Amino acid sequence: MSCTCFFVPKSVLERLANDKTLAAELRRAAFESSLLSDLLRQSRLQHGAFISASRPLSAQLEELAAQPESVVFDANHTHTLPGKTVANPGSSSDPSAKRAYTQAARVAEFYQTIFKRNSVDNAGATLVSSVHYARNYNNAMWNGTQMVYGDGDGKIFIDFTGGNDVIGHELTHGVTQYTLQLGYEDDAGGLNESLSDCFGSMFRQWEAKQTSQQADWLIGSDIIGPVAKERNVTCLRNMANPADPRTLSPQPAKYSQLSPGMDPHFTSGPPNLAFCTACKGVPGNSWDTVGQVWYHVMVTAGPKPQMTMADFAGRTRQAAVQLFEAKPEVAKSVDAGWKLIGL
Amino acid sequence: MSDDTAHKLKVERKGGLAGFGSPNSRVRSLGSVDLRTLSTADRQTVERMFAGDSRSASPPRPVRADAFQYHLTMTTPQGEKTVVVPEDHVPDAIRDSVQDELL
Repeated sequence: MSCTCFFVPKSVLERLANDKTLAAELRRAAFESSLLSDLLRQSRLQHGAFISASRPLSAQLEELAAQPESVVFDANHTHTLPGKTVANPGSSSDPSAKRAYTQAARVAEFYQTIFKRNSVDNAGATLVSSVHYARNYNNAMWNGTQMVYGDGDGKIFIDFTGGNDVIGHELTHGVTQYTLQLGYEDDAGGLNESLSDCFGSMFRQWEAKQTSQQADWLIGSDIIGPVAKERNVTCLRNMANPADPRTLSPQPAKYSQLSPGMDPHFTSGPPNLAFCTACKGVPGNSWDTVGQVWYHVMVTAGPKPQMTMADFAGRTRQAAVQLFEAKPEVAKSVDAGWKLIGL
Repeated sequence: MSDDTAHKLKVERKGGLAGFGSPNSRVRSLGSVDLRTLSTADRQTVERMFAGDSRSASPPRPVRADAFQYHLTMTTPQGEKTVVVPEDHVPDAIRDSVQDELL
């Protein structure tokens, strides 16, 4: 995994540490920061190696923890994580805490029932959620170890725990972290975001018992606030029509429209459309056929931090043929999905 | 360059689950801070952010999926300089300066 995520490069820290025109205190701070950079880099490399090494063992570990625990914290409108423990979140009078708990458990159930996966790491990792993060925070995220939800500003967005696809999206970032280990730039970044949308949407369809043909394929439609609704915003993204002007951030629909440096929430448009098209081409539930193909690639390809969309497309084409030999319409539909976006 | 301009930090928050600031995005998040109003510690944090060479202006690779990135811009005698910083590295006073706006 590439590790270039420091905002002050190590070379600059070393230069500052050796600059005799600077105050001794500043030089010492720069020196200590450069050492910390090394330690953090080593820590991340070891973390990646640990994840890779633990994959073969995960089947045995799965038996030790059949159902992951879900815990919820209240950040109490601060930036401090995880916050204060919410006791008995399943029966909490705080609807945000209750939803974060219940829906995280349901996503875990979805992964276990449909994909035989035990939590994000397939080893029963506890699912940690923090609600009421910051003030008027218009966002939800996966920070590498836990899910974080803002309350929204009540205008553009409402409480981010209100969207079950949002919770499925964030938790899937955890699954990606423990499988493909996709980066967050260029093709890999777009794929990373797309996988979270695909599994978030599938989870929403599974909860609603909807076939691919019945689903609306919208992401985040339940967290849009009243002011945005008045302005005809219906959702964050539309997987069936990425360029839909009623979305908050219309996306490109063709792979050729992507270029390096674009935000992954923008570049996820084409692979989202490929997945949605492939699913809609096969009668029935997304999670029974095309969803299985996508998941198979996620868990069998190994760590691919720089994976291209073309590589992912090729692997799904191959997996569709292997997994659904007796159902050739699946491979045909997967192929049609990728061809639609130009891959 | 006026004194006010020299001390003004322009702030744009991008990314997040909703893709703030993406091309075609209908939501953006802008703000500004007078550096003179920051605490000494926060001002030093900002100075360190801008202390690197031009490589500091390259977007870092976020390791936190869906987290925001802050684009901080200062006007110097040499022109505008922008650094991109993950949200958890940004002082609260700067984070709190932005307003989300529907376009």
